Amino acid sequence: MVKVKTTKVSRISQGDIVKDFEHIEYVSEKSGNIEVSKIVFPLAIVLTQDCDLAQDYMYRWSKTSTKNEDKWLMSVIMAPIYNVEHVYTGEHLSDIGMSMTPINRRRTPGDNLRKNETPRYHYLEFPASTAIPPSAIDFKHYFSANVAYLKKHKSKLFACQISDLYREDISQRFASYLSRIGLP
Amino acid sequence: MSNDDIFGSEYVNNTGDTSSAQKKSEVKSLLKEPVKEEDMEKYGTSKPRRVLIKATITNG
Repeated sequence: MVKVKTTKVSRISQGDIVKDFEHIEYVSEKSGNIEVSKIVFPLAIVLTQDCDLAQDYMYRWSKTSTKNEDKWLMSVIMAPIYNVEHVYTGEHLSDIGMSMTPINRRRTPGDNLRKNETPRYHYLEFPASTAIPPSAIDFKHYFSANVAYLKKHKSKLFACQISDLYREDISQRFASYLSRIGLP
Repeated sequence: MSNDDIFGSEYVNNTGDTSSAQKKSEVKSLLKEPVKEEDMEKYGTSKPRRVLIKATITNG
């Protein structure tokens, strides 16, 4: 079980979990007709390094003047968190027309997922007080979010924050997954 | 041999407890203050969904 913080702070931090987060897939405009497609993730976690987020906050939002915008971030890396029960059945993206490979919860694949031995996923069990069921972060589905947008809406969207050590474990595993090398 | 602690205490003291909550105490606190039904439904059953917005510019 992970340890979480539920205190809201204005700064975006690594390990922040937000609810009902809107990810813009695309925006198109043709002859005055505009189309916006977005995916609403029930839960998503911030994966960007916390020192980068801290510097961005200091340079972008603090009242003290800074020489330049050198530390501003272009975006925040995020990853969706899926209900693990849906992941087992492979139906966690059924509402957006995607079918995923099921993971047998009673056999080795399910055990490996829960022991965090499957590189793609990070299994999380939350304290009962946070009202989030056992879940899995899918590192393959990472996406980016606008820094200013996330900062502006964080107070409304904030669910909880994964505490130190636990979030660093997630960050390590994400970096490891991203830098994997497929050998022939 | 010096009695000075070779590990600086400042960082250790500022770190705070990193252990997760015990399941037993979690159950106790849950019984005292159950999770709202709407929260359970919201987080427990929802899946990502796609929203498509279409609009036409009339005064462009």
